Amino acid sequence: MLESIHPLTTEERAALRRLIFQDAVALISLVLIVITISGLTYLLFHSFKDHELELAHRWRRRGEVALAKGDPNVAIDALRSALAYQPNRTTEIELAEALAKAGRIHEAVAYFNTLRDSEPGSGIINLQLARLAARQNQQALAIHYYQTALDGTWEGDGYDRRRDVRLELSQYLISRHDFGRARTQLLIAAGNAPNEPAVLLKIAGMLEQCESPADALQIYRTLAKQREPSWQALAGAGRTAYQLGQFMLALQYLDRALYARAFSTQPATEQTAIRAMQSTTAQILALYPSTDLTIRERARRILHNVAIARTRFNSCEAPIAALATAAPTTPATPNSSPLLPPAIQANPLQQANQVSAKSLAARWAKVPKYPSLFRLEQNPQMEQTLMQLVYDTELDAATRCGPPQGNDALLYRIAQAPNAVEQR
Amino acid sequence: MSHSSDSARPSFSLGDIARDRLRIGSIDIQKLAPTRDERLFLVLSIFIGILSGLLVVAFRVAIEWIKVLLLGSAPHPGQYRLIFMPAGMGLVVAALVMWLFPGARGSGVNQTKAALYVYNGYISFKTVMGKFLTSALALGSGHSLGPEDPSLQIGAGVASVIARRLRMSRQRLRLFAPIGAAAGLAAAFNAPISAVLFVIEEVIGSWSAAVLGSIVLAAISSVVVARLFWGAEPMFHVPTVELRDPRELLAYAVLGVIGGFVAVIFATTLGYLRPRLRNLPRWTLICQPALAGLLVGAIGFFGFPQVMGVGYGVIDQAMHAEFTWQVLFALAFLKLLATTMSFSSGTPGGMFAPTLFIGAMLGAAVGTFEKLFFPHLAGSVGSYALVGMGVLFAGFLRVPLTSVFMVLEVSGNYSIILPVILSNTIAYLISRSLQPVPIFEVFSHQDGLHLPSMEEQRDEVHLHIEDALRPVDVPILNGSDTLAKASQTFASSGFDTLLVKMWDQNWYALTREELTGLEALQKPETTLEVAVRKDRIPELYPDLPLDSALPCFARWRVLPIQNRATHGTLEGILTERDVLDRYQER
Repeated sequence: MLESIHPLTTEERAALRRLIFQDAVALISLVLIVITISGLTYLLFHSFKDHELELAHRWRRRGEVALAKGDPNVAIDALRSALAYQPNRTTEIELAEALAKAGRIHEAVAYFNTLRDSEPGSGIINLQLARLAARQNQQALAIHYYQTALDGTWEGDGYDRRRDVRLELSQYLISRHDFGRARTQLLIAAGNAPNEPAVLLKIAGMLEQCESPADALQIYRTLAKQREPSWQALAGAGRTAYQLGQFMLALQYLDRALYARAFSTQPATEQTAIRAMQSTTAQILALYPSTDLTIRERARRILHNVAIARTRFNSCEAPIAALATAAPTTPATPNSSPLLPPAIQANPLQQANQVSAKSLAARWAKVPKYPSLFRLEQNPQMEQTLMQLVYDTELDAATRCGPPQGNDALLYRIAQAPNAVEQR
Repeated sequence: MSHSSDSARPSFSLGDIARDRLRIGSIDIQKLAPTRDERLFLVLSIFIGILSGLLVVAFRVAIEWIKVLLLGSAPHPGQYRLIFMPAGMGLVVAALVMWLFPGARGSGVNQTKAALYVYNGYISFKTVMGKFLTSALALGSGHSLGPEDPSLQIGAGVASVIARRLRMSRQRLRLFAPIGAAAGLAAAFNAPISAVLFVIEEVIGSWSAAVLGSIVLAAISSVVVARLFWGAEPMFHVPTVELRDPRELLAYAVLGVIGGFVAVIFATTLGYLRPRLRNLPRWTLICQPALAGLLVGAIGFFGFPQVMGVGYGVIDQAMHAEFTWQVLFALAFLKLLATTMSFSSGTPGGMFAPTLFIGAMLGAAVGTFEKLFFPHLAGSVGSYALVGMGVLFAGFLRVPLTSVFMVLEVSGNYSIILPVILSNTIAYLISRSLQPVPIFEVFSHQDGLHLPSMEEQRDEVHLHIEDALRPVDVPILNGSDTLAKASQTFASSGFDTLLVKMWDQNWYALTREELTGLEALQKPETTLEVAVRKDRIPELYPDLPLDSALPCFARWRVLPIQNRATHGTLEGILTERDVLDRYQER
């Protein structure tokens, strides 16, 4: 640093020594100053950082409390303040949720989209976007986000969260009357949760909502086989078996539900519904000519059913016959006959119904007015023919003459799936 | 000269001080230790970087502390202190600037530039302290300004103080200001490359190899210190940008156009208002920051507290798409208004952060709008906000190179470079064509200073030797030819000068007078190689600056201009008359 080409004089050497000393002192002073300022800056910095953390925690707590209390606008301000002091993914998601709850959908969507840009596979972010899309009636987008959430990453209880998302997606599909896709999702969910009664119960209930009682019944029956089955499982099994026309099975479960201890704790409407269902099922089974019955009893029930159906046919036949007499070849026009039920008038199926009615009339004409019990006992083929005539009559009359009442209603239920009645 | 420039100017002769400090007693330090300055220069650059980094960290923390203390931990509309605090602190700051720290007024960029070009690198310690204190109070109380330009001046001031203490030579003393400026800015931005480029583009105004190494060293040192405190994370977190569709570049181009026009509006408003407020009676100067504070506070009180203070948090919120496009446009407009008032009133504080804020809001607004109406084309809102920051930086501050690197550094995201270059270039060109004088230059002209700038250099047309070149029309002889042949050639050609090509491909221009003298002393058969003087014409090439030829005419009448690829081959010749004629043609 201090080299010189020419030899130095005494005065210059002294000056050089002074210069070296001064430079050394200056550099040492500089080092000391750096150390001192470092210490001061460190203290200042950390005092503020600690304060920042405290503020972030305080505002986050306030935001969460406000969110829980259903005050999203307060939560938004608080969570924004928390984020200003300490950026945090959980707080960001909470803020977006608060925005959504406050009805600031566009802001929430934009916020979640930005979060998704940085973490496209996040389950929770995609789920929130799915909910927002659902709120905005964007079905395709909602389903896309739900699906991405299902395939996405979840922290901690990923298994449970994915199942919940699947159930939420199913519920959304049910609300959109997309029962086919909802059923698929529910069956996957059921397959993934074989040992969770509460979840299975919920899935079965949702399967009922998406008009898939057979699948629901299967789950209910599985649950009902447990050592201490829940009342909901028994009632569900009874209800779905009843819907499917499996009355023998329905009666079993409905009886168990009725006599279960939990029955009395159920809401009154629920109790009444189960009682009514059990009573109807019992009446249906009292009419049904089961193969388990004695031949005589079976023949007696068939004759009873024939009498009921004949009455129903006759009461329903009169307006049809009148119509056929009045205009046998002319197609019916609207209001052409006040005797016909409004549903039938102007119905394109009217002619077909007339044809069906004529065919039924022909079949009834072949049936003796008072069939012999003895002959019936001897002729199983005749039993079948008569019961088929009963079922066809009830089904036909229900479409032509309005909903059946009393025993007709019971026979109508059997007629819908006669082979299911004794299925177990 | 305006108030600040007067007050910033020291009351003693810096030349005298510099001369005094170069001596120990009667002995010249330069003579005693000629390489001392050069060696200390690099060591001190590191010290300057470290100290600047520490001071900038302390400065930023001080701003945050003051903000929490004065405005509360979560300012929101309807709080009366949002109005009173900026106004009250405006009065305090104005008093401090007027009576205690006159050098602290303004942003700090022009003051640093003036220190470099006018005051031999002198920035007083008092100015450093004043800048720290007044800027921290102003920004902490909510004035709509930024901490980067003050950081730059604080760094430059630290450098100046250290260099003076170490008795550096006047030339070195001058160079220390930009070194400190780069260190201060680098720490404030956590972006060393941008800081170096900004200091070169805006403070030094030219590419100077002499100081580049030290600037880089200081900037990196300060960033290392800053990162020890803030961490190595970039200032803003933006997801990787993917251009889903080339048509998305159209949206970025639109952003460039909007940013260019907004930059012009911003610059024009500032350029108009600042001198008018400063020319008001002196007593009003103490009220102006308070009134500006009142306006900024009112904006916050009535619904937009985001406009107050530095606003990095709000930029981050915009990047995370927390606002609708209508709110974003409103924030951009209100920030422009608030910053214009705060800065024109003379409140100490910088223009960087507000520029970034406005740019980010515009960018996010364009991004949000596109996402809403053209969802299949839109990238993330954050990337638009980021590009918007660069756009306004390029258009308003007119530092295109810095603007590109600033965006890349503050985001740590290099995938965004294509949209950034496109938008910045558009904004820069629009701004440059509508507002020929850059804003910092406008401010320095308003202060009575005319400092060099890189923008001036960009406008300059540099002449080269090839612009004045003419074909070889003088006779050419070889060095092996005799004096007699040279005499014959002169007689037959009528020229006063001929060129002689020597054996080593160097050239000599022989005049008729010189030949006459040689003939009197030497035999006619003597070769020219032996007869003529030993000096040769310097090698000149067509691409060299035209003025590089001028010193040669003191010795040579005609200059041969050589081809760079084929040594000894001539591209043409040049005379003094040719050069002068070419300059007069401009």
